[in-house]
Amino acid sequence: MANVTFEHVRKDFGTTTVVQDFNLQVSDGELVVLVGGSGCGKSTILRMLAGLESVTSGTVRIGERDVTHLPPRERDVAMVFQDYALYPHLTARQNISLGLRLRKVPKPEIARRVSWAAGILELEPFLDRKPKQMSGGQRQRIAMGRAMVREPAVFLFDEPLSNLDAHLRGQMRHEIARMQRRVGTTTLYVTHDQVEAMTLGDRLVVLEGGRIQQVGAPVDVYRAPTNLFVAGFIGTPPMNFLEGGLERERDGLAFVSDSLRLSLSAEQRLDTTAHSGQEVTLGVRPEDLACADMPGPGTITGHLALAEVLGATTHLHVEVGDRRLIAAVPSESSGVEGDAISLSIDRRRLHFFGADGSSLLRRHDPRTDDPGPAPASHA
Amino acid sequence: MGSRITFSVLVFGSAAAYALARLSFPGRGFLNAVTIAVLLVPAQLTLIPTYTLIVQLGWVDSYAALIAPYVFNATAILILRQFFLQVPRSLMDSARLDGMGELRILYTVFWPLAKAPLATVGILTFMGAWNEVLWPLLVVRDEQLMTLPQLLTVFSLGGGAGPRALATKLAAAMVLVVPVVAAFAFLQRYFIESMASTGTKG
Repeated sequence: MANVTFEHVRKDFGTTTVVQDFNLQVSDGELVVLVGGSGCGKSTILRMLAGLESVTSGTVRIGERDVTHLPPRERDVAMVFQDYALYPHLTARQNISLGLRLRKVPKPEIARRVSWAAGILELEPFLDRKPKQMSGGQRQRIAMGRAMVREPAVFLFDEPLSNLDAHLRGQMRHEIARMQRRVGTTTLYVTHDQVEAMTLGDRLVVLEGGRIQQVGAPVDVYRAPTNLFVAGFIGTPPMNFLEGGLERERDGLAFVSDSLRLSLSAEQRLDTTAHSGQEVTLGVRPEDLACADMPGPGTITGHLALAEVLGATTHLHVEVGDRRLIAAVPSESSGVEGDAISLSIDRRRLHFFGADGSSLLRRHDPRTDDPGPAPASHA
Repeated sequence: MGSRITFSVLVFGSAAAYALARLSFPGRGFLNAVTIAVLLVPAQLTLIPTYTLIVQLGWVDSYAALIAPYVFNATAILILRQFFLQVPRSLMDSARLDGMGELRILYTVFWPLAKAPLATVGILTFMGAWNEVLWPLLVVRDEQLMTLPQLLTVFSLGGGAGPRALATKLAAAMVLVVPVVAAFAFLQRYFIESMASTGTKG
C-alpha cells in the first residue's frame, strides 16, 4: 500500500493534449474516483499510472518511488478493466493465479491467496470454469480476484461496471466498496457513472478537457461546485441554469431575469458590493424546486411539458420561455402535462456563477454552513 | 521439409504479424506496405535471383535450399496480423501488468486465441510446401533429398508407357495426397471456423 502522487503530469497524443498540468495526491488506503465525460482524459491518467501509456512530461510516484518511466510489471499495480480482460483459454483459477505464477510465488502461497480472494468474492464454485461459461458479474469478480491476489500497492479500476446491467451494477458496486475497505489498498477508480462517483469514493476528482475542475468529498462537490461545468456534470438530473443579473435591493441583492425576480436578502455567501450589477448564471438543483400553490414573488411560472414518474419522485420538465427546467418533486405533487405550473425555489441552496463560469459564492464548509432541508416534523 | 517450413512460418510469421499489428515503432506503416507489396511479385520473377543466391551460398543439394526461401510468408503475416488486430487491447495490457514480456504475450496469450488462423496458415503453408515441384527440381539433384512430388515427377518423366507404369504413378499420387488430407481432416474444425468468422466479424 502506498501514496500516489501526480506532479504536473501532461500527456500528448501527437498534437493533441489530453491531460495537462495534472496534480493529485492520493493518500495511502484512499479510494479516489476520477469522473468526467468521454475524452476528458480520466482513463489516460489511470493508464499512465499503470505504465500502459507513456508520460509526456511530469512525474508519477507510487510511495516514494518515481515510477514515471518504469514498465508496468515493475510498478506493483493491478488493474480491473471494463471488458474484464480475462484470458479466455484459462480457467478462473488459472486467470487469478497467472500473475503470481509469473512472479514465481511459491505454489502453497498461490493456493492460499486464490482461496482467500475466492472466499471474499464468493468465487469458489466457479474456479474451474472458463470465462465463457460464466456470467458478466462472475467474470468481473474473477477480474477483481486477479487484482486482489497480487496484493499490489495500488488498485486501478477502469469503468469496471459499464458492461453490467443496472441490478448487477448495484451489487458489484457494493462488492467493490466492501473489498476495498477490507483490504485497505489505495485505489483509483474511473467512471462516468454518477451513482458510482457519488457512492464509492472518499474523494471525487472531476475532469474536463484534461484538467482538474474540482477535487473534494462527493457531497462537497455536489453541494458546492466550483464552476458551471462541475455544477452541470455532477447530479442527475443536472442542475438548472438561468441567466440574469444581480441588482442591489434595499437590504441586499436580487437576482433578476426575464422570468424571475428573486430577493437574496438572506444570502450571506455573496459579496453585495462586489457582485452588484454583475451578469450571472443562477444554478438550482432539481430537488430545490418545488410546486408552488400559486404564482408569486420568487416563483417561476411555465408550462409542464413532461412529467416522468419514477416512483417516489417525479421529474417535472417545465418550459419557461425558451428554457426547460427540471424539478424533482414527490410524485403526489406532480401536475398535468400542458397545464401552467409555478415552481418555488429553496433560496438556501442557490448557486451563482460569474461570466467566466466560476462560482461567486464564498468558499465554506457545506457540511456545517448549509442548513439543508428542514427536517420533517413528527407530530 | 513441409513440417519444418510450416513451423517456421507459424513462429516467425506470427512474431512479424504481432509486431506489425500491436507494437508501435517507426516504419511500421512502411513495413506493412512492403508486406502487401511482396504479394504482388510473382514467384516466377524471383526464381532465378533466389537460385543464384542459393548457389552463391553453396546450399545447392541441401535441406537449407529447400527450406530457407519459404521461412517467411507474406500471406501468413497478413492473415495473422488481421486476427491480432482484433484481440482486445485490454488483454495485452492485462498481460503486461501480470508481468509478461512481448514474446510471452504472443505465445501464451495470442496463440491460444489464434488457433483458427494458425490452423489455416498451417494447412495452406503445408500444402504449398508439400506440393512444391519446381523449386526442388532446381536446387536438388541428390535423390536422398528429393521431395515426394519431385520424385514422382522424375519417375513420370523417366518411366515408360503402359498400364503398369500408370498404376504405379497413381499409387504414388495417392501416397502423395494422404498427408495433406490427414492434415486437413485433423485441423478442419479450426480451418472452417476461421473461414466462417471472416464473414461474421464486423
